[in-house]
Amino acid sequence: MSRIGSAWATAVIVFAVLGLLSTLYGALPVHAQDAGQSKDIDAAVEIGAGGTAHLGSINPVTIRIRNENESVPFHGTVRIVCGKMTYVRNVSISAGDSVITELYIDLDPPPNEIHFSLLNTQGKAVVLNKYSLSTAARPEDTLVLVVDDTLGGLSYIEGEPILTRNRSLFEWTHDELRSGIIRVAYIPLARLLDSGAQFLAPVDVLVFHSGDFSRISSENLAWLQAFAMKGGVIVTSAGIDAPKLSQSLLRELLPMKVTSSEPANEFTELARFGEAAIAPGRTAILGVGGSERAGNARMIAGSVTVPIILEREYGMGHVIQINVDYAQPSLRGWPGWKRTWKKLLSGPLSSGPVSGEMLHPGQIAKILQEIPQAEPVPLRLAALFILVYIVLVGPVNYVLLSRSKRRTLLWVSIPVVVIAFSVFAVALGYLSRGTQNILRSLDEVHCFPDIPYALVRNYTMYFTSASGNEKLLIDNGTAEIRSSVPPSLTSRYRYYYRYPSPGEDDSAPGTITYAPEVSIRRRMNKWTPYIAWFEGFVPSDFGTARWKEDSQSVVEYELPVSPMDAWLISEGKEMRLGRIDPEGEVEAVGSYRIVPGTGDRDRTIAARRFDIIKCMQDPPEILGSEFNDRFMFIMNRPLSGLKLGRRYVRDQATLVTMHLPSRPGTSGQPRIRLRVEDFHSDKAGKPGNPSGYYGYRDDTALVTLASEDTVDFVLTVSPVDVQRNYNFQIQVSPASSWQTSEPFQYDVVLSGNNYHQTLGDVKDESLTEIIQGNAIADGELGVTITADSTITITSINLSPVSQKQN
Amino acid sequence: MIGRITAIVIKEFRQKARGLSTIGVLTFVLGVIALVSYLILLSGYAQIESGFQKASDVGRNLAVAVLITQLILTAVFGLSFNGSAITQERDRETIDLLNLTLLGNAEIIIGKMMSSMLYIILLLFAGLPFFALSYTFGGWELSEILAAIAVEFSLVILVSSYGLLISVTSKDTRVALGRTFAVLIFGAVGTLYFGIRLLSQSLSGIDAFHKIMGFISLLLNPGFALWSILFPDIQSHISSTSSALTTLSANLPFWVLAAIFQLLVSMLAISAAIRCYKMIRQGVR
Repeated sequence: MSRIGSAWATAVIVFAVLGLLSTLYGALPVHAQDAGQSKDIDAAVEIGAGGTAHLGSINPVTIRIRNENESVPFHGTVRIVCGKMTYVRNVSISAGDSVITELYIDLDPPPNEIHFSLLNTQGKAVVLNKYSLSTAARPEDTLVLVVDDTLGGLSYIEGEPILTRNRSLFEWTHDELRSGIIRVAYIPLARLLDSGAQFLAPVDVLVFHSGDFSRISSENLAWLQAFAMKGGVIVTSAGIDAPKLSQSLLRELLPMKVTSSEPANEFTELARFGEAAIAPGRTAILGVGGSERAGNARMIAGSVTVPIILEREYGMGHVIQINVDYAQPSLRGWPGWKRTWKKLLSGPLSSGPVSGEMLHPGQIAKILQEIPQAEPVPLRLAALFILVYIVLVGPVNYVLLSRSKRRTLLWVSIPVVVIAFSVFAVALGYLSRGTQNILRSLDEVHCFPDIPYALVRNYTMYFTSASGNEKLLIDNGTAEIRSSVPPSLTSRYRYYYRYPSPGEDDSAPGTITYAPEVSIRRRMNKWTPYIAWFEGFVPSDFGTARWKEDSQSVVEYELPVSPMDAWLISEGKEMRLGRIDPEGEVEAVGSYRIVPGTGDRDRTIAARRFDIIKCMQDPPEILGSEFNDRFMFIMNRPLSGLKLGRRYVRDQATLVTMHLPSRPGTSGQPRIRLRVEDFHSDKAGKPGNPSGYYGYRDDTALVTLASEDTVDFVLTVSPVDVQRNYNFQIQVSPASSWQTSEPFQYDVVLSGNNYHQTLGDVKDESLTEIIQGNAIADGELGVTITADSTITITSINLSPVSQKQN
Repeated sequence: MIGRITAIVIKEFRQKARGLSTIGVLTFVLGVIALVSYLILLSGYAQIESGFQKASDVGRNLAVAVLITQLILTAVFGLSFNGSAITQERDRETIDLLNLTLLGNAEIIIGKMMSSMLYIILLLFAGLPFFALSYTFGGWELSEILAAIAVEFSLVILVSSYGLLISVTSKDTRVALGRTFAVLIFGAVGTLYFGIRLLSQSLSGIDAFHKIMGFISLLLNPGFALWSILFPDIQSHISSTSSALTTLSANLPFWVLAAIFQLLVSMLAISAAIRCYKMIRQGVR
């Protein structure tokens, strides 16, 4: 019978050895199965907003899947494996149909690659892709969605590179070329309006050409406004339908209201803009009668009497109004259209999405969680507890029982000590963590000039002293809960649900939460803080910031902050804050130092962090700070209505960012963005090598270069004041953890419009260079940094020199 | 029968209480858990200081670390205690005396197993203050820990039954211990390999052999059951690897299925051990 036992042992050993042999064999097949079905499925993935991923933060992933099988629907699962996290979503696609779905993934810490797979119901992968994130994820293309253009008038620009760059400096790579390609898609207006906001997630530019614009409902308008506010570009080119467009609800967005349309043959301004002649005698329908214009409308081409192209900023996005129909036969073959579209779109598209303007959720989560109840028992106490327990249950227990000669009581004394210490530990928890339920909430509000809605993002931390289910009701019908809450904030995101309104199918593509009741439900663990995070829109009753005086030294803002009226007066670097009493007198309630508008991301966050903490701990009426193109203040009153099932000690505040309009008599504060073009390292990813590209946002880069590594940045400036000087600054630090005896040294090459400057063998951690405005006349400054030693680039900044210094 | 088994257990307990080894093993096990806990707390407090982690994250990490340490120690001690249960009788030349008693084969085997198992359960129970400490940090629920402890219990039964089988079929303690550790190492590595191979099938192809081996490995290795408790999102992933698992796990959590499977395997091993012991008594071996 010993053979039976030996057989058991042998079976296990054989079992394990087979596994090891398979591992050593290493030639296991790695391929997608079910190829027959995969032929029917086409999937494209875009990582990051607009295709640019911000490593080190939360990023959207837009997935487009098309079922090319005309008779069989597809049901399956999207799976994204990113570092240690796996994100899963079920998809159902009708025969011959396609879906666009979006989920959010955490790229903090930056993963090297992301695996995307689409599984069928048998769990087999029909689509497999791997995306390398050693550099920024590149957008696949710029997607232009054209509404109701049955003639396909824009098809001629498909495949054209759109972003203008200095080719001599930045040689095109395949990826870069792909990043600048326009792809045009067409959609009937009715289908767009029925599809909803989520349909617009991968769209960069939305062109309204024709259609029954009266169908646009107030709900459609809300998400079109959201699209523009978040950085999207809306172009209208209605021609003969321009008056109808102006009568629709879309008029809220337009730079100019058109009252009629008439034939015109004077297109000199358009020809100049498009840099191509228009044959004389060509007649096209032109929308005219624009006496009513938005406050920030800007004429691009045409004249006051014949306005052809107008533009306005709308939040972080743009609305471009072309008062002539580009698809009309008389203008369709005009060669200047390509140039026109490039010029119209390259600026707005380079400005980036609004997500770059928002605070990092991780930063806010940290601040909100800074409560005494979230602190654990001190480490020394925990260590002492463990030590005393082991000594008591082991040696002391044994010695005592041995002396009393009753060692068999060991089986009783051990459980008694175990239970006693367990009860003591739980009691210790109650003493240190308390019995209160705590809610801390911050509304981050962005108000833009001349826009009736403000974008609001709410972060809520809730902490309960007892476990159980909790339901958070959000009193904002526009609230859009993130499809997956950042795992860096909580590992229990699986408990998030979005409850659709009656009749709404949550799993269907193209839906957005405009439910009357939006809620988050989750299982709460004892003494565990959780973060909820959602976005929505509120009426901008904060008013609009206006310049009261255009003097150089004194700037005055009028902020009709509801429910109190506040006047904020800036004199030099001191700001006086007050509110109007019933007699109309300004009553000062505080004096605050302005944080200089350097645009330095770290300092900005630090300042905001300070404000938030100060506001929550010792609430004043209002706190404010000024940055170069915005004004920020904090109110200690909640904006979002949050209802919960339990009683909470509440601590709520609102952080308002007023994006300022252009100062009268100036071309406005430039919007400056940093983008990484190329990161070249022969050593990146190799063991022990520090080279790495970790991401960038606005003006803050985080790139570590080893010797001979090169990184190319582009700073985009919009608008450019060519009469002004600009201050270029770069902060570089030695990469201490990998520092060797090699000298700290790097080279910088600046390149712009007929401008080329090489700064070789730089040994300073901070480098400043004055650049004339005409050197960046085309809105871009190329920065190439080559390391001679291991360095980390922490900040790259371009700021206009003040008029006095100028 | 229960009375006779109890008598064996009491006899074993009295014997164990007399020596220093019982308290020595307990102190050693708690010392290892304490060391792991302290390291987790040390790094966790540093992470809390720097803002990278919350107290609840540290609490969860502490609980997970204690669970994994207990799991490993349970497997090691469970196999070695039971692996030497019968061979020690041989080494001390007391097996003939044992055979002369009126105790049945099953009573001897189950009695031996129970006494070892209860001691291992006591070792597990001694870890309770560590869980209580991690509970004060937040981050986990009582139900999760109870499920994890149930997984550990099923492992105790599995390794005890397997250890006894090895003990019955080995000539002496040295051979028995060698076999138990071979089983432990190769079993752990093999099940981990096949299990992970099956779970990653979405990213690569897999053949029928790997699928069957992977299926058994998922159910046999308690690490996967523990994983499915601590990271419930993985449950659907595990279930999707097999249509049988998909059907079964529709009603039961994966860790319950794994525990049932392990109990069945344990029953087979115990019955085999009883038959082997019968042969020894009959002088066949």
